[in-house]
Amino acid sequence: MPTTPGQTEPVPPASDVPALQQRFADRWPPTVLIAVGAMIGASLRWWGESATTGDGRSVVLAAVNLIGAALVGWLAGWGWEMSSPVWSFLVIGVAGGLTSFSSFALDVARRLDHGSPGTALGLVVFTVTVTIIGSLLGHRAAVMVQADRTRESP
Amino acid sequence: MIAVLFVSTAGIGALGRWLLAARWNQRLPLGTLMANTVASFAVGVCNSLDGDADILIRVALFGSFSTWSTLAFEITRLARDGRRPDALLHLMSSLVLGIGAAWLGLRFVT
Repeated sequence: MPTTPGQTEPVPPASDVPALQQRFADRWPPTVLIAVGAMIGASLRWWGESATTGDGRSVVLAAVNLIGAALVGWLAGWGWEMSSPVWSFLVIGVAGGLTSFSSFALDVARRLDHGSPGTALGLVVFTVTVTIIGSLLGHRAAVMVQADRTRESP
Repeated sequence: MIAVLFVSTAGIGALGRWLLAARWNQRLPLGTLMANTVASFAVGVCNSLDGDADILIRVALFGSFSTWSTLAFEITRLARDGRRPDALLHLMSSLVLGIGAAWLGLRFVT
């Protein structure tokens, strides 16, 4: 519906999720949502990394990778479409900026370079295990919550 | 000033990853694989940086260009879709190429 200057657009009712999503998507293109989301995610990772030193950084990195993987699993379990603004902002932006494969790979490569293949292998196995399990659990939790809500609704 | 540059480069990194994924994520998520491998090599090359340069390049730019959350999601989705060999291939190729690229980057500058 066209609007004249000074006239506000009609607001869709809160129950009309697709219309609200469309309205949101029209105002905020994916590029802006992804960039802003990544700024937030990367800032959180930086804050976590800067609060620790040495091996503590590897633990923080594994923790943020786990949180990001669980968040994406959770959102996927809710059935958000990959083209939706929520996916652009939270998955590609926030979770993508929060987690970092390159920092993990550098951490492992440094340990290999310093002659600690056992620690490097342990870090790989630990990170892969927790992120995959985190993603699966996030997905499973969202599906279970949805099933509970469906059962409770009349 | 560093905070402004940090959020800007983080945004650029994420947009680069999104463009690669949009172009190359087809039957297999090759865009994510490429982003993670390139970013890993780059942070290996930039390993000797410290201070603000390290924060901007390693943490912000290439940290946001690469991703673990999407990788984990892609692997679990492939497995859920009954494509376990593809899921294993995606995981193993990401690990071997990513860690190998970071190690080569470290060697490249020494």
